[in-house]
Amino acid sequence: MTDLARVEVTAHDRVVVAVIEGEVDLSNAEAVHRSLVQAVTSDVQGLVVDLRGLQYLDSAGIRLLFQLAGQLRERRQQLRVVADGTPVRRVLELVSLEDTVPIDAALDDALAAFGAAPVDGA
Amino acid sequence: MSPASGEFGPLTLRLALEAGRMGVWRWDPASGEVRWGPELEHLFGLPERSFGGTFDDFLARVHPDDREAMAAAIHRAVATGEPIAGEHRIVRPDGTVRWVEARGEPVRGADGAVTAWVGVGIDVTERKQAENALAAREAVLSLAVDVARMGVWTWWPDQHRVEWTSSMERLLGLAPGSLRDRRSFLDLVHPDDRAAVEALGRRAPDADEVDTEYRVVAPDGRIRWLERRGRALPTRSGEAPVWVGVSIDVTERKEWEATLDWLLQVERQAHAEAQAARDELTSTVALLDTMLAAAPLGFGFFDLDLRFLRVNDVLAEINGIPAADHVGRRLAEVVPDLAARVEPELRRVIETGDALVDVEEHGQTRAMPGVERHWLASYYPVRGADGQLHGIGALVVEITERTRREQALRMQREIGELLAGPSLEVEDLLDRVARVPVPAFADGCVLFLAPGGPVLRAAAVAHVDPAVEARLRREVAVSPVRVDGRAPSARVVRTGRPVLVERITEEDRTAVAADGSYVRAAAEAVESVVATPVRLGGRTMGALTLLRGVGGRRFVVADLEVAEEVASRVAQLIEARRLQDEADRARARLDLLARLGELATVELDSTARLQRAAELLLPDLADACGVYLVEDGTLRLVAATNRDGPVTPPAEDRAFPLDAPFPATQAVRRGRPVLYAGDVDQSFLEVVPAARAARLRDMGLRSVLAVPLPGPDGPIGAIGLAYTARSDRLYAPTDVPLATELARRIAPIVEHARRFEHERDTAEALQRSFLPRALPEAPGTRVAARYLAGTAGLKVGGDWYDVLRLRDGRLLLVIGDVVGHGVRAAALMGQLRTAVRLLALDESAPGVLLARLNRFLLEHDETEMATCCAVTLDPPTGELRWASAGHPPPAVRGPDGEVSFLRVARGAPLGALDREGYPEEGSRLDAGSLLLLYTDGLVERRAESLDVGFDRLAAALASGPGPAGALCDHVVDALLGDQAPTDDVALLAVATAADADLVLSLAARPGELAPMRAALRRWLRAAGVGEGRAADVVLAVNEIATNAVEHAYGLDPSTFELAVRMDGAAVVATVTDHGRWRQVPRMEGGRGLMLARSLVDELHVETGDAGTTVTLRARTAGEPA
Repeated sequence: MTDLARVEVTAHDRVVVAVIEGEVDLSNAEAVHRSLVQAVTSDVQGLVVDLRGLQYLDSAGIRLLFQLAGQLRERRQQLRVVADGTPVRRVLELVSLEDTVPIDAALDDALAAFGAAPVDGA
Repeated sequence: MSPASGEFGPLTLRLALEAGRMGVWRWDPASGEVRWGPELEHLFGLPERSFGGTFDDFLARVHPDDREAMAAAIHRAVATGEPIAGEHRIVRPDGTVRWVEARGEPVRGADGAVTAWVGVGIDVTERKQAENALAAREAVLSLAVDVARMGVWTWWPDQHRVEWTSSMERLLGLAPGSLRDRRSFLDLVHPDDRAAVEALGRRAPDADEVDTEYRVVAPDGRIRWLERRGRALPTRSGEAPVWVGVSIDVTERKEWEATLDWLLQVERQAHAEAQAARDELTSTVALLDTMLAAAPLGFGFFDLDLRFLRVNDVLAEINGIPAADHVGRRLAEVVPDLAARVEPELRRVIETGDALVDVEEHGQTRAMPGVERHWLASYYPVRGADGQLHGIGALVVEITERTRREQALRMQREIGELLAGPSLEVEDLLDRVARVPVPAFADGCVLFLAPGGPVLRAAAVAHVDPAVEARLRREVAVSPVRVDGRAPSARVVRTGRPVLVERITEEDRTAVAADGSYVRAAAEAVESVVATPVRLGGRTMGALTLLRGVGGRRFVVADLEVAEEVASRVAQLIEARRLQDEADRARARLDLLARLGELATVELDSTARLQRAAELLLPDLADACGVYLVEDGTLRLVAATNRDGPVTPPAEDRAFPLDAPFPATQAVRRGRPVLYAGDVDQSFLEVVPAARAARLRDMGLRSVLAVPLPGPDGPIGAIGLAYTARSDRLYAPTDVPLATELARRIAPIVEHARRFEHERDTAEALQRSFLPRALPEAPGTRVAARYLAGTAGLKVGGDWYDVLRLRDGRLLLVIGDVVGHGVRAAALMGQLRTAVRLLALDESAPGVLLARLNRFLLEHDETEMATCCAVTLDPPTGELRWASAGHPPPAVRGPDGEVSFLRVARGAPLGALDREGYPEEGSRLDAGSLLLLYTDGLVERRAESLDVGFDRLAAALASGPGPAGALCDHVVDALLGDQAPTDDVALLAVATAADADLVLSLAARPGELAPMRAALRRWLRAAGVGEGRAADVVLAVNEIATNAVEHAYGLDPSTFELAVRMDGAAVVATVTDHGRWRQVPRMEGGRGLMLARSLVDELHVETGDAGTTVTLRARTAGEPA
């Protein structure tokens, strides 16, 4: 990936979970975007982006999330975001991401929204 | 002896034969026949004709021991023809042995041949026996001679011949045979003795014996003494005299005798000298005795053990014991009081051998116990003619009376000097007075003053023993001497006559104790008292009581006169001191009135003035002073002080209803002074509430005087004056006029102060309203200002400053000082400030600006003047331009901390001269510098060069903190301290961004963003910005930076700058790039900016030809919204 951020993708039933850690800014937003798009195959219900391990997200990352949400919507797939850390969560709220992308406080909540089993049960 | 010859006739022969006891013989060798004469047969003891007639018969008669030698001698003679000569012994038929001398001559024929031998035999037995005896004696003598070192001589005076034995040669160490004749002997004689010896040798002495001594010089050079003893041998008449004698070596004896002589001589001489010394000493002592017997000089003589050898009657009388009883005693036995001092002095004389002259001694002797006497003594070494120290002489003159006079003079002089010396409090002065007689004249001293009451007051106490002094001090306070009592001091005060108690008796003590004046310390430590009156103007105002007792010392009548003189001197001192105090007080009061008058003119607020006024009254007029003012029907204490400084009494003592029972309220109500002169406890404290009375008692209040402060419509307040135990003084009615005058002077101060305060408050309000409330800043600069009104005086209103942000981004800083103070100055200042703001709209060059202000002021009002300094600063470049109109030069502290002052032309103040312009100067301010503009109140001090103020400012700047605001505070503290400035002071400081601020210049690339954020986070954390707020700032700055990166032109490695600083509690960040953002931002870019805006409190975007600058400001938790 990049020095700045790491993306780890796993599958839970028919949901792809991508955990992003590190920082996302103008320098790596496109790369992160690319890896997320590649992780979502057409047979899954959707993508959960877990941002709880992310330290920094700026408007470039937000732009990425909005674009990703648009792309999945076109593929009848849903994007959900898990966020609880204050700095990142605050940014998401400031730009009203939730109007476009549902935000869950916990990964299980996001999986449940897809009807998928909780992570513990997998 | 010649042999008998044939010529002698028969008779002659016979006579000869008979006389010589000899016999003749004839021997015919050819026939062998021997014929003897009858005399010869007789000689041999044979009967006549009985000799056999042969040679053998002859030999048979010869002693066997001599026979062989005789036969040989005869045969030798026959053989040679020489005569026969020899001696031999014979043995007579009766067995006796005789000595015979045999002589024989040959008888020759005509042919000369020997035909026969004829000869004689002579009986020499007698001679032989004598010879043998002599030889034996000679041997013994020789032995004796050798042993006794003697030479033996024989002297024939008539022949001038002397013979010596060989022992003489040995004696003299001469070679054998060298002493040949008289001449050779005389050569040996010592030249000094030669004549005498020669004279002696020339003729025989008259006496039969000689015994002389003379010296000879031996060949080895040694001188030997010889004793010559000789005796004339008895001779028959006509015989030539013969002397025999010995010469004995008596050198050793002579030497021993010489030594003995010398010893004897020495002994005799020593003896004579000792005798002479004894004689001389005896005569000297006798002379001295005679001389000093009647003289008024004490004389003593000590041996080297320091025992008295002799004293004269005068010294005996001084010592108080008979002269004879001195002898053999030590000083400690004779004069115990003096011994400890004198003995070491005498020892010193012994050790050094030098006299000690004019030594002052004092003490007591048995002659007058208890009386201290003084002597002048000289101690000198007494030596014999040989220089040997024999003892110590002492000369003693009594100088008791002289010493007493000297003491009196000394004490009078010392007391006089006390007045001329450094000024002392009265208590200290009297204390010193009491110490003057101690310990030389008295062991203790008490100065009693009689103030008129029933007891004497002990004004000063001194004693040589501090413990006794402390007890005396305590006891005269506890049981004071009653004027009507029996104590000597009381009697002195009553009668005005001196009292001497030489020896205090038990009765005296009891009598004094009986009237309550008993002083225990005195009773124990005092044995003698002299009390003398201290008279002033014919009145006895006290007693000087002197005490003795240490070591049994007591006063005598002669001391009375001294004490009286001292007391009289003390009286003079007290009077002189009183006059001096009076004069001082009068001068002080005049001075006080003048200073109170001055207080009306200095510019202080009312409280400060009244406090100053109250302090001026101390300590001459009061130990404590309060100033009260009437406010709204209440009397309030506005200033209070005691001799330790300003005081703040409890609240209930600071405000009283006007009808309260209190001296100050009484004075206000009555409009007249109120005096509590007497016993405060009884007359004053009963009118005040108990709690306050207790407090007043605690402060030792003794006397109170309250005076109203007169106003146009009755009293406006009162002054309360109080004496406490501190000075122990009382107010008298004579104090009232002065106090009234003081109040008359203080009242206008109050009025004046009230007017002044009103005006000052107005001016300050006006001025503050004209000063800018907020100061604009430019990126990279921080501005702070301080204004301090001159609260200590009417100095408000002249100083002003202003800061404008010019349209080109530069800052215009102006500071000025309107000459004059008060409301008018404040108003003019406001006008100048407005004028600057208007002028700066189209003209920012400082020189031109000042020139126009000058015109403005000249046309506005020709009488007004103002100093002013105008500075422009271009923050990005630090370019600085300035001009000054008579204003102090701005100071600059560079990033290295170096402080300098901007060079300013010595221009005239604004409004002073009508001229074209003010010279403009320029320089550059480095990043991290600080520029300080100020008014003269900061650096000016009265009576001090301005350079000192500049130096002080430079030092404060150099050591001050970085931020502009903190620096202003530091400078104010350092230069003005806690005190409010007398003049008002304005400071204006500009700090340019320093390295301490975060300044980054970054390549406009996305990869730069993360490092930028990291740096920013670190900086924010270091700046103490909280984590959440820091995240906002980081995000906001990142968004702006992202815009700068996205809008960077082309492929050129473009850059952008980030500057972040703290402004108080707010973070201010500036991002500058060199591109121009699109007029219509992309949606996303717009979102970034919007996001940033939503995170911070302020965000400005300025887009110019050169690029875009975004400034954001984010308040942190510490800064109010």
